Amino acid sequence: MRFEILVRLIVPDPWSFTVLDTLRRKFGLTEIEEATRFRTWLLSLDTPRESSAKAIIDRLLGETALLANPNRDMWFVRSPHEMIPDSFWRRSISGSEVFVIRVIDIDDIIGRARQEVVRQRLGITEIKSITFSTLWMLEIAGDSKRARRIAEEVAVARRWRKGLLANPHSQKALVGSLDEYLEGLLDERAQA
Amino acid sequence: MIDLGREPEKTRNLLGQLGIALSVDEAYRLRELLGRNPTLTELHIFDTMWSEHCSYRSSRKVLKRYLPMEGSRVILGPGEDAGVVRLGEFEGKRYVLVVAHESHNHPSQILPVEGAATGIGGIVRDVYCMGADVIGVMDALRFGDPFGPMAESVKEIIEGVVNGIWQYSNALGVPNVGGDVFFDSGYDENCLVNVIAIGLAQEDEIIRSRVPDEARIEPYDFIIIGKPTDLSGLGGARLASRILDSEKRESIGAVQLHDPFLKRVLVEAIRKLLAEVRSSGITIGFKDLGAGGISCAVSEMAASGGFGADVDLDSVHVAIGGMEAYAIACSETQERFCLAVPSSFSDEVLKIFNEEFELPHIYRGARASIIGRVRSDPKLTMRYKNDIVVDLPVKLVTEAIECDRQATPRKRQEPETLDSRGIDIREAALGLLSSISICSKHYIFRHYDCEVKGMAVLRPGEADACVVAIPGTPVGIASSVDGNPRISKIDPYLGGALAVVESVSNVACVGAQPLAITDCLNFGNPEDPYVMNDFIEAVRGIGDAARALKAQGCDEALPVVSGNVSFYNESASGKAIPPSPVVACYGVIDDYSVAQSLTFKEPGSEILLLGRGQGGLGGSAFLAWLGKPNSGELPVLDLEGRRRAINTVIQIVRLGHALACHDVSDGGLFISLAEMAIGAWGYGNLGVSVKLDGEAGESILNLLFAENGGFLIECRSKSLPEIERICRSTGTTSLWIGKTIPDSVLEVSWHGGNLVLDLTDVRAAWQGALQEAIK
Amino acid sequence: MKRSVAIIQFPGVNCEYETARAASEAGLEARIVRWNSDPQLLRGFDGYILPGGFSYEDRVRAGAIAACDDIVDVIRQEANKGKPVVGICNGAQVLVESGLVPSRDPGSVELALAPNRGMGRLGYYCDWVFVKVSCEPERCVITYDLDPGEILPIPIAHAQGRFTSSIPGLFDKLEDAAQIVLKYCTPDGDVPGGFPEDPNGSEHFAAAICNPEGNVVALMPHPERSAWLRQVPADLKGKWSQRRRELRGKWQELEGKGPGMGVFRSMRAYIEASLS
Repeated sequence: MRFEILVRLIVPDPWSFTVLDTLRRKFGLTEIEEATRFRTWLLSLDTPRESSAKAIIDRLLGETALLANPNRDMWFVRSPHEMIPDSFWRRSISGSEVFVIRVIDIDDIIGRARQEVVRQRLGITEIKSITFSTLWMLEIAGDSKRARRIAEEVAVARRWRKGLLANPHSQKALVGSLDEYLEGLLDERAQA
Repeated sequence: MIDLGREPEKTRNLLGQLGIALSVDEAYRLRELLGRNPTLTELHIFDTMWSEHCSYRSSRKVLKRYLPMEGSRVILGPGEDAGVVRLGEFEGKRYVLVVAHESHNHPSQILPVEGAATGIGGIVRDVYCMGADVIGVMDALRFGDPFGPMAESVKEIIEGVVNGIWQYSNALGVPNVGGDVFFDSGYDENCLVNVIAIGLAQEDEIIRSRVPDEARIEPYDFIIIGKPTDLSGLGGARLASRILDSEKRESIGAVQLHDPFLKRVLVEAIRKLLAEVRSSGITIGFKDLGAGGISCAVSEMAASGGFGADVDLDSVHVAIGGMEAYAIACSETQERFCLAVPSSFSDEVLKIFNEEFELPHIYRGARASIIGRVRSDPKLTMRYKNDIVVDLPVKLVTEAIECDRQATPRKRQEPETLDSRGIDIREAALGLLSSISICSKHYIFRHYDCEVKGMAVLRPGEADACVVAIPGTPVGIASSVDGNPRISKIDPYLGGALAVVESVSNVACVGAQPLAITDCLNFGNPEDPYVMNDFIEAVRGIGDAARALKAQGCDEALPVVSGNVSFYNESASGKAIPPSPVVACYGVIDDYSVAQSLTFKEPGSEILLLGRGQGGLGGSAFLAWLGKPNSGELPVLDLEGRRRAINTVIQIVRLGHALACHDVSDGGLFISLAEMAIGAWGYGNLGVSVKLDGEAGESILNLLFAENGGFLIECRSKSLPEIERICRSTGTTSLWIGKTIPDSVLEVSWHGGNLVLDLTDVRAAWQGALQEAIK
Repeated sequence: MKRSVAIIQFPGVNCEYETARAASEAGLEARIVRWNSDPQLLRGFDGYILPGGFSYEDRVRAGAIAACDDIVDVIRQEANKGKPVVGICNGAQVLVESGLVPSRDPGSVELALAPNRGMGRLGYYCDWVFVKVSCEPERCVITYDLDPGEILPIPIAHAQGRFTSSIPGLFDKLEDAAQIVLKYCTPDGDVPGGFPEDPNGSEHFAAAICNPEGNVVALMPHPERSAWLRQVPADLKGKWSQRRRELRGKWQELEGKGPGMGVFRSMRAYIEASLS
């Protein structure tokens, strides 16, 4: 059973601002109107029922600050195909195209370290894997084809000012439209 | 205006609804002082200014009564953002040290990374705003027991706090120059994060946190620089004055996010600003924004210069629309400073921050804004959306309030008798080496950048104190921070006094002359008479030790030049932390090249034990390891003996006689010897062979593990006569105990027994234990 | 005439002052230049140093945002004329992220400086390590004044210092072309046995990599933190620490040249050679 915990700051995120400022001012991509960063945890659990899986996740989030801290973060636990409630995130520019870029470190030291803590320290054996990723939501003006091209261009750093969010030598980037993301978790698609 | 009414019960409810923590009596007192009902903004201002955190209402009298705060080297004692001490004149420049010392305990318990990071962020601001450059930070950490019932959250907090410290200070580019860490179940629900910033400046560069006299002659503006004001800081000072809620969430308003990146850019912009200020010969006032935000900073700057202020809250750059006046006036948003500059210079200030250093592109909404004017009469007014929201005599805001707290001595427990039968010395020695109190702390401090700025001479772990050199001069600055809760929880007076002795001894080990100390006093709820008594005792201990530890040929006490009191370190269940006085000492060496690492340097050199103190194993790491912390006699406090030993060691090191020097503290004589053999990087391969005699009838456990002070010195044979002569002249005992040897073994023999340990085993026990314990 | 270098001050770097001090000590005219300065001003320098720190707080990735600044394009143009560019730590990360190093395919991003591996925990690591000069002196701007095989104690301080690439065989090619100019080693100069001698798991133990021309170098350790003998710890192994121990009580000698000063003297020698 797979879940994704989307975590965002309860206060404005300086990273999102820096990325937006860089893409708009330095790359000249003024079509990008908003950037939002989520830290996400992709969890794979081995439990008989969804409810027991959710109970384990709730315990992790409620009793520890390993994945998120209520004093700093808000989060949403999402199963594949589940919508994101407006109360958690919604597009700020109406009419914009939303593209999602997931960046995962190939080594994923953070995810593996958390998994070890969960297993060794907390003794939770049902969690089979934890992957950490940074999920960017870009709101891009214009038609969807051009928006996709922009999203794909900024996803992977290939040359100077061509690409930013992932370095292909140490990271993977997965790009999809919001709908494509909402249909799954955007974790098994091959990179375009 | 808020009509407070006349019925206490109704007033209490009203205050509660408004989120004001003032008591009903305090609110009525405010109304009486004003001669009218307060506005909402005024209520919030006094809510902060009268909090324990800002007003020192419980502690002020005690501190004044017991602590020496003056001296011929003190330029600025407690009162402003940081203390200023004269270092000396080198290469034609008059240098001063600027030091500040604070706690960030409660926020670190709630949000470890951000809490610890903003702790560093706040303390460096205190030093930068005096016009100094920060050349080092230290951190004294007290965590819960990683093997105890709350191990899980304790480990999370340790990881978070260490991450917060490195993420902030490494990114800001201030080197770590020392710190210490203790683990005790008394901190399970309240960790302590005490932070220290050390700044260097030339004497004529010091900027005061007040509106300068020149504002009588020409108009002056107030300018706020940095982050846009937001809601995130509301209630921070009050948080520090309240017991932690078990739910943690309730304190959400006090959470601050750190931004060392913005701070780093601000620091460079400030450097540019100050250069222009100096070259154009104008005078400014400069203060950081901490608890109480704009209202506190502006009124303190105005009041201490004898001025008033008109503040236009509409001009403050804010992060969100629709903020209420009190929120803008009192928010504690991080990374902001307040300037008072001649109006003719204001445009230049805006240009430096907003254009040259592009603040608006560094952080969304960050900039410099003119927010008000200095007025010549001592009144504070604030306007917002065509309303006057504050109209007060400015002194009313800054005037101290005090309250007398009851103090009742605790009944002292008689120490249990220690049954030492069956203790295997070898097992104890290796066990103690791998215990979390004693084992290497590399695991923590290798996270910290101790090299940035390129001034390092001795780094954390290399010697008892860290040393940095002023570039281009032979002058070294030494620092150390200490405070042993194992002692202070048994005897707060002794704990306070020994915190001073230990920090001063550490600075002496590198040959530095101690110049000043700062303190941070961490306690439970001062409304509890026992806690209040602990507090008074600890302060009395610090004061007595500071007065006793005079420099050679000098009749001045060691001045306490800055500090902080942190009360209410208590969990919702009423469990208070152990009394925790923490003391930092700062010293100067004319020639840093005499300062040596604590590692043995040469085979065949002599080992001396100087100025050994008296007393038993009480409060020792050994008894903690043994699980019998309540047994044993405490070390005897002989301040005159300690003074002599300290001054003797300074003299010996300065004359170049010491190849290595280390004091006898945590873990006792055995551990000190072992640390000198293992070496700072664990590369040490020289062994040692010593013979211990001790007092008549003294047990070997006492000889090896008692933490009763003294210094170990490694020297060449030819230095012996001179060292003997110095010791005789100062009346310090000097005991030859053995020699270093080329074989990698630790040999200790005593009447009736001996202990031989392979250095490989010693190193293995000491090196990896911390990582194992907290991972 | 003194040769000049610009020390580039990206927002968030923090080693610019001691780097300028070390460059001056090596006989260069060093000036700190802000990231948004006039390109014309920048073009007047004989060389460039990108100092350590946390440009843009390592947001997105260390060096990634600074690599997109206009000033990097100016530096690239000047580097293409043959002027030397040395990136130290965060500066190295900027050079890698902007495709200036290793420049097998000029302008393309061929490497990453990935999170450290092998230390058994996450995050930042600050310690002294040993590096060995693994090329001929004339190979690149930082080795001109160093001997092949010379062993230098030097501090590292980073969380992301592991040179790696997804391009198959790239490191063998870099090795063959002598573009890996400094390698982590044991105090005796041997291949590291593991952490902490190999502090981050860098491929081929690379500590510094240059472009094919040798005028641009990405260097992870901090030479400005071992530029003076005073900075070298007495308790490390090797001759530099031995020397430090011998100079107890002699501060003027301790203010003399440390192992890292060779990097700055090399840069000066390189500039003088290329301009003569």
